[in-house]
Amino acid sequence: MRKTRSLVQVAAALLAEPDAHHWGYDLIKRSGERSAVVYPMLTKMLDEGWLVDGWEDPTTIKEKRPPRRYYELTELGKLELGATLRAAQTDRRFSTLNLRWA
Amino acid sequence: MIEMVELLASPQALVGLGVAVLVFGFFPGFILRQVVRMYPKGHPRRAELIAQLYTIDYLVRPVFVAAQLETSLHEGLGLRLTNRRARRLDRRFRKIASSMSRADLIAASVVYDFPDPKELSVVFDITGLHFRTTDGTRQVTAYPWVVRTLALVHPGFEEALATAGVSAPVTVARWKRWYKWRILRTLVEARRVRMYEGPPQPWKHLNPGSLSRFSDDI
Repeated sequence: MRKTRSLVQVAAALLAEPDAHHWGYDLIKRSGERSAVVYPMLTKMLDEGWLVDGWEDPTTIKEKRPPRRYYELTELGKLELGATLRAAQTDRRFSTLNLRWA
Repeated sequence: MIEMVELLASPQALVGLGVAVLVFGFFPGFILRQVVRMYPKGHPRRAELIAQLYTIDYLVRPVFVAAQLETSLHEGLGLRLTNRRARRLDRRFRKIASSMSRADLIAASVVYDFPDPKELSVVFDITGLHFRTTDGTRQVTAYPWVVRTLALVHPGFEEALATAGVSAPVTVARWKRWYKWRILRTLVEARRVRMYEGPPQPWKHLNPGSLSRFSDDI
Protein backbone atom coordinates (compact mmCIF):
# COMPACT_ATOMS: atom_id res chain seq x y z
CA MET A 1 0.00 0.00 0.00
CA ARG A 2 1.17 3.50 -0.76
CA LYS A 3 2.42 5.38 2.24
CA THR A 4 0.04 8.29 2.37
CA ARG A 5 -0.87 10.66 5.13
CA SER A 6 -4.21 8.84 5.50
CA LEU A 7 -2.51 5.46 5.88
CA VAL A 8 -0.21 6.86 8.54
CA GLN A 9 -3.13 8.41 10.42
CA VAL A 10 -5.15 5.18 10.31
CA ALA A 11 -2.09 3.14 11.27
CA ALA A 12 -1.53 5.37 14.29
CA ALA A 13 -5.19 4.99 15.28
CA LEU A 14 -5.00 1.20 14.97
CA LEU A 15 -1.68 0.86 16.79
CA ALA A 16 -2.83 3.06 19.67
CA GLU A 17 -4.57 -0.11 20.86
CA PRO A 18 -3.00 -2.96 18.90
CA ASP A 19 -4.92 -5.79 20.54
CA ALA A 20 -8.32 -4.15 20.75
CA HIS A 21 -11.37 -4.45 18.53
CA HIS A 22 -11.64 -1.39 16.32
CA TRP A 23 -14.88 -0.02 14.93
CA GLY A 24 -15.03 1.81 11.62
CA TYR A 25 -16.57 5.01 12.97
CA ASP A 26 -14.20 5.04 15.93
CA LEU A 27 -11.22 4.82 13.56
CA ILE A 28 -12.63 7.65 11.45
CA LYS A 29 -12.88 9.88 14.50
CA ARG A 30 -9.47 9.01 15.89
CA SER A 31 -7.65 9.24 12.59
CA GLY A 32 -9.43 12.42 11.53
CA GLU A 33 -9.86 11.04 8.01
CA ARG A 34 -13.04 10.91 5.93
CA SER A 35 -15.06 7.73 5.93
CA ALA A 36 -14.72 7.52 2.13
CA VAL A 37 -10.97 7.18 2.72
CA VAL A 38 -10.96 4.97 5.80
CA TYR A 39 -13.41 2.27 4.72
CA PRO A 40 -11.69 1.45 1.40
CA MET A 41 -8.39 1.46 3.27
CA LEU A 42 -9.74 -1.06 5.79
CA THR A 43 -10.83 -3.26 2.89
CA LYS A 44 -7.33 -3.11 1.43
CA MET A 45 -5.82 -3.96 4.81
CA LEU A 46 -8.15 -6.96 5.09
CA ASP A 47 -7.05 -8.10 1.64
CA GLU A 48 -3.41 -7.70 2.62
CA GLY A 49 -4.00 -9.77 5.74
CA TRP A 50 -3.13 -6.92 8.08
CA LEU A 51 -6.55 -7.01 9.67
CA VAL A 52 -9.21 -9.58 10.42
CA ASP A 53 -12.84 -8.70 10.88
CA GLY A 54 -15.81 -10.09 12.73
CA TRP A 55 -19.19 -9.14 14.11
CA GLU A 56 -20.22 -8.25 17.62
CA ASP A 57 -21.86 -10.96 19.65
CA PRO A 58 -25.58 -10.05 19.53
CA THR A 59 -26.11 -11.49 23.03
CA THR A 60 -23.74 -8.94 24.54
CA ILE A 61 -25.54 -5.91 23.07
CA LYS A 62 -27.71 -4.17 25.63
CA GLU A 63 -29.19 -1.49 23.37
CA LYS A 64 -31.67 -2.20 20.61
CA ARG A 65 -29.33 -2.12 17.62
CA PRO A 66 -27.71 -4.47 15.13
CA PRO A 67 -24.24 -5.90 15.83
CA ARG A 68 -21.31 -3.90 14.55
CA ARG A 69 -18.41 -5.11 12.46
CA TYR A 70 -15.06 -4.96 14.17
CA TYR A 71 -11.50 -5.00 12.89
CA GLU A 72 -8.55 -6.53 14.68
CA LEU A 73 -4.88 -6.25 13.85
CA THR A 74 -3.04 -9.42 12.88
CA GLU A 75 0.61 -10.00 13.74
CA LEU A 76 1.49 -9.18 10.14
CA GLY A 77 -0.54 -6.01 10.37
CA LYS A 78 1.21 -4.93 13.54
CA LEU A 79 4.57 -5.45 11.86
CA GLU A 80 3.65 -3.72 8.62
CA LEU A 81 1.86 -0.78 10.16
CA GLY A 82 4.54 -0.42 12.82
CA ALA A 83 7.12 -0.23 10.05
CA THR A 84 4.98 2.33 8.25
CA LEU A 85 4.79 4.50 11.34
CA ARG A 86 8.51 4.22 12.03
CA ALA A 87 9.25 5.25 8.45
CA ALA A 88 6.75 8.10 8.73
CA GLN A 89 8.53 9.48 11.79
CA THR A 90 11.62 10.18 9.74
CA ASP A 91 9.73 11.27 6.64
CA ARG A 92 9.45 15.01 6.23
CA ARG A 93 6.07 14.65 4.54
CA PHE A 94 4.56 13.50 7.83
CA SER A 95 6.49 15.83 10.14
CA THR A 96 3.33 17.75 11.03
CA LEU A 97 1.56 14.63 12.30
CA ASN A 98 1.56 13.78 15.95
CA LEU A 99 2.50 10.12 15.79
CA ARG A 100 2.18 8.21 19.00
CA TRP A 101 1.24 4.60 19.41
CA ALA A 102 1.45 1.79 21.89
CA MET B 1 -26.58 40.62 0.63
CA ILE B 2 -30.23 41.55 0.31
CA GLU B 3 -30.48 39.28 -2.72
CA MET B 4 -29.02 36.44 -0.69
CA VAL B 5 -31.56 36.96 2.09
CA GLU B 6 -34.34 37.09 -0.48
CA LEU B 7 -33.05 33.91 -2.04
CA LEU B 8 -32.90 32.11 1.29
CA ALA B 9 -36.35 33.34 2.22
CA SER B 10 -37.87 32.21 -1.06
CA PRO B 11 -40.47 29.45 -0.86
CA GLN B 12 -38.30 27.07 -2.88
CA ALA B 13 -35.35 27.46 -0.50
CA LEU B 14 -37.56 26.95 2.53
CA VAL B 15 -39.13 23.86 1.02
CA GLY B 16 -35.65 22.55 0.20
CA LEU B 17 -34.47 23.19 3.74
CA GLY B 18 -37.57 21.54 5.14
CA VAL B 19 -37.03 18.45 3.01
CA ALA B 20 -33.36 18.28 4.02
CA VAL B 21 -34.24 18.53 7.69
CA LEU B 22 -36.97 15.94 7.30
CA VAL B 23 -34.84 13.55 5.29
CA PHE B 24 -31.56 13.76 7.17
CA GLY B 25 -32.97 14.72 10.55
CA PHE B 26 -35.87 12.36 10.95
CA PHE B 27 -35.17 9.44 8.64
CA PRO B 28 -31.39 8.91 8.70
CA GLY B 29 -31.81 5.14 9.02
CA PHE B 30 -34.11 4.99 6.03
CA ILE B 31 -31.88 7.23 3.93
CA LEU B 32 -28.76 5.27 4.90
CA ARG B 33 -30.45 2.02 3.92
CA GLN B 34 -31.08 3.48 0.50
CA VAL B 35 -27.54 4.87 0.24
CA VAL B 36 -25.83 1.57 1.09
CA ARG B 37 -27.74 -0.14 -1.69
CA MET B 38 -25.04 1.22 -3.94
CA TYR B 39 -22.86 -1.61 -2.59
CA PRO B 40 -23.28 -4.98 -4.32
CA LYS B 41 -25.85 -7.30 -2.81
CA GLY B 42 -24.52 -9.15 0.22
CA HIS B 43 -21.54 -6.86 0.71
CA PRO B 44 -20.75 -6.66 4.44
CA ARG B 45 -20.34 -2.88 4.31
CA ARG B 46 -24.12 -2.55 3.97
CA ALA B 47 -24.79 -4.07 7.37
CA GLU B 48 -21.69 -2.46 8.85
CA LEU B 49 -22.73 1.12 8.06
CA ILE B 50 -26.30 0.60 9.21
CA ALA B 51 -25.13 -0.93 12.48
CA GLN B 52 -22.69 1.92 12.96
CA LEU B 53 -25.46 4.50 12.63
CA TYR B 54 -27.23 3.33 15.78
CA THR B 55 -24.12 3.61 17.92
CA ILE B 56 -23.51 7.29 17.29
CA ASP B 57 -25.10 10.32 18.83
CA TYR B 58 -28.51 11.21 17.44
CA LEU B 59 -27.41 14.74 16.52
CA VAL B 60 -24.43 13.50 14.52
CA ARG B 61 -26.44 10.95 12.53
CA PRO B 62 -27.44 13.28 9.67
CA VAL B 63 -23.78 14.19 9.17
CA PHE B 64 -22.82 10.52 9.31
CA VAL B 65 -25.44 9.66 6.68
CA ALA B 66 -24.21 12.45 4.43
CA ALA B 67 -20.63 11.16 4.81
CA GLN B 68 -21.73 7.65 3.91
CA LEU B 69 -23.20 8.99 0.70
CA GLU B 70 -19.67 9.89 -0.31
CA THR B 71 -18.35 6.51 0.86
CA SER B 72 -20.99 4.62 -1.06
CA LEU B 73 -20.45 6.65 -4.18
CA HIS B 74 -16.70 6.20 -3.95
CA GLU B 75 -16.49 2.55 -2.93
CA GLY B 76 -19.90 0.97 -3.43
CA LEU B 77 -20.73 2.36 -6.81
CA GLY B 78 -17.26 1.48 -8.07
CA LEU B 79 -17.71 -2.11 -6.93
CA ARG B 80 -21.15 -2.28 -8.46
CA LEU B 81 -19.90 -1.01 -11.82
CA THR B 82 -16.98 -3.44 -11.74
CA ASN B 83 -19.39 -6.24 -10.96
CA ARG B 84 -21.68 -5.23 -13.77
CA ARG B 85 -18.83 -5.30 -16.23
CA ALA B 86 -17.61 -8.58 -14.82
CA ARG B 87 -21.06 -10.12 -15.05
CA ARG B 88 -21.24 -9.08 -18.68
CA LEU B 89 -17.92 -10.77 -19.34
CA ASP B 90 -19.07 -13.79 -17.36
CA ARG B 91 -22.19 -14.06 -19.53
CA ARG B 92 -19.96 -14.00 -22.59
CA PHE B 93 -17.86 -16.75 -21.10
CA ARG B 94 -20.98 -18.84 -20.43
CA LYS B 95 -22.08 -18.20 -23.98
CA ILE B 96 -18.76 -19.53 -25.20
CA ALA B 97 -19.12 -22.53 -22.93
CA SER B 98 -22.66 -23.24 -24.17
CA SER B 99 -21.45 -23.33 -27.75
CA MET B 100 -18.65 -25.75 -26.99
CA SER B 101 -18.73 -29.47 -27.53
CA ARG B 102 -18.87 -31.82 -24.56
CA ALA B 103 -15.10 -32.31 -24.62
CA ASP B 104 -14.58 -28.57 -24.70
CA LEU B 105 -16.94 -28.11 -21.78
CA ILE B 106 -14.94 -30.54 -19.69
CA ALA B 107 -11.84 -28.56 -20.51
CA ALA B 108 -13.69 -25.34 -19.71
CA SER B 109 -14.74 -26.64 -16.32
CA VAL B 110 -11.09 -27.16 -15.54
CA VAL B 111 -10.31 -23.70 -16.80
CA TYR B 112 -12.92 -22.28 -14.50
CA ASP B 113 -10.69 -23.09 -11.54
CA PHE B 114 -8.34 -20.37 -12.70
CA PRO B 115 -6.10 -18.78 -11.41
CA ASP B 116 -4.22 -21.98 -10.61
CA PRO B 117 -1.07 -21.39 -12.70
CA LYS B 118 -0.81 -25.07 -13.53
CA GLU B 119 -4.07 -24.88 -15.45
CA LEU B 120 -3.08 -21.87 -17.42
CA SER B 121 -2.12 -24.17 -20.29
CA VAL B 122 -5.77 -25.23 -20.61
CA VAL B 123 -6.60 -21.71 -21.69
CA PHE B 124 -4.07 -22.04 -24.45
CA ASP B 125 -5.55 -25.42 -25.45
CA ILE B 126 -9.05 -23.96 -25.65
CA THR B 127 -7.75 -21.18 -27.81
CA GLY B 128 -6.31 -23.83 -30.11
CA LEU B 129 -9.66 -25.62 -30.26
CA HIS B 130 -11.42 -22.52 -31.45
CA PHE B 131 -8.96 -21.97 -34.24
CA ARG B 132 -8.56 -25.57 -35.34
CA THR B 133 -8.07 -26.31 -38.99
CA THR B 134 -10.39 -28.74 -40.72
CA ASP B 135 -10.10 -29.84 -44.38
CA GLY B 136 -7.67 -27.10 -45.15
CA THR B 137 -10.19 -24.44 -44.17
CA ARG B 138 -9.84 -22.46 -41.00
CA GLN B 139 -12.92 -23.13 -38.91
CA VAL B 140 -13.58 -20.30 -36.59
CA THR B 141 -16.46 -20.79 -34.20
CA ALA B 142 -19.00 -18.06 -34.83
CA TYR B 143 -19.24 -16.00 -31.68
CA PRO B 144 -21.02 -12.72 -32.29
CA TRP B 145 -18.26 -10.74 -30.62
CA VAL B 146 -15.58 -12.25 -32.87
CA VAL B 147 -17.33 -11.34 -36.08
CA ARG B 148 -14.19 -9.86 -37.47
CA THR B 149 -12.50 -13.22 -37.09
CA LEU B 150 -14.93 -14.67 -39.61
CA ALA B 151 -13.30 -12.51 -42.19
CA LEU B 152 -10.38 -14.90 -42.00
CA VAL B 153 -12.34 -17.60 -43.77
CA HIS B 154 -13.41 -15.22 -46.48
CA PRO B 155 -11.18 -15.74 -49.54
CA GLY B 156 -11.28 -12.07 -50.50
CA PHE B 157 -9.94 -11.14 -47.13
CA GLU B 158 -6.94 -13.43 -47.52
CA GLU B 159 -6.20 -11.88 -50.89
CA ALA B 160 -6.38 -8.46 -49.38
CA LEU B 161 -3.99 -9.58 -46.68
CA ALA B 162 -1.58 -11.00 -49.24
CA THR B 163 -1.72 -7.74 -51.20
CA ALA B 164 -0.90 -5.88 -48.04
CA GLY B 165 2.04 -8.20 -47.47
CA VAL B 166 0.53 -9.82 -44.39
CA SER B 167 0.42 -13.59 -44.36
CA ALA B 168 -2.69 -15.37 -43.18
CA PRO B 169 -0.83 -17.45 -40.55
CA VAL B 170 0.49 -14.26 -38.99
CA THR B 171 -3.02 -12.83 -38.83
CA VAL B 172 -4.37 -16.03 -37.33
CA ALA B 173 -1.58 -16.01 -34.78
CA ARG B 174 -2.52 -12.46 -33.86
CA TRP B 175 -6.14 -13.44 -33.43
CA LYS B 176 -5.13 -16.41 -31.31
CA ARG B 177 -3.12 -14.15 -29.06
CA TRP B 178 -5.97 -11.69 -28.78
CA TYR B 179 -8.47 -14.46 -28.06
CA LYS B 180 -6.22 -16.03 -25.45
CA TRP B 181 -6.02 -12.84 -23.46
CA ARG B 182 -9.73 -12.36 -23.86
CA ILE B 183 -10.35 -15.73 -22.24
CA LEU B 184 -7.90 -14.97 -19.47
CA ARG B 185 -9.51 -11.63 -18.75
CA THR B 186 -12.94 -13.20 -18.76
CA LEU B 187 -11.87 -15.78 -16.23
CA VAL B 188 -10.29 -13.25 -13.95
CA GLU B 189 -13.34 -11.02 -14.11
CA ALA B 190 -15.68 -13.95 -13.57
CA ARG B 191 -13.78 -14.76 -10.41
CA ARG B 192 -14.30 -11.20 -9.22
CA VAL B 193 -18.02 -11.55 -9.72
CA ARG B 194 -18.16 -14.56 -7.52
CA MET B 195 -16.14 -12.74 -4.90
CA TYR B 196 -18.90 -10.22 -4.27
CA GLU B 197 -22.01 -12.11 -5.27
CA GLY B 198 -22.53 -14.50 -2.44
CA PRO B 199 -25.94 -15.19 -1.02
CA PRO B 200 -27.15 -12.22 1.05
CA GLN B 201 -26.00 -12.56 4.63
CA PRO B 202 -28.11 -10.28 6.78
CA TRP B 203 -26.52 -9.58 10.12
CA LYS B 204 -29.44 -10.99 12.06
CA HIS B 205 -28.82 -14.50 10.78
CA LEU B 206 -25.19 -14.46 11.76
CA ASN B 207 -23.64 -16.23 14.66
CA PRO B 208 -20.95 -14.21 16.38
CA GLY B 209 -17.75 -14.35 14.46
CA SER B 210 -19.19 -16.55 11.76
CA LEU B 211 -18.86 -13.95 9.04
CA SER B 212 -15.52 -14.74 7.61
CA ARG B 213 -13.88 -12.62 4.92
CA PHE B 214 -16.09 -12.33 1.93
CA SER B 215 -13.44 -13.71 -0.35
CA ASP B 216 -13.65 -16.99 1.58
CA ASP B 217 -16.96 -17.64 -0.13
CA ILE B 218 -15.24 -18.15 -3.46
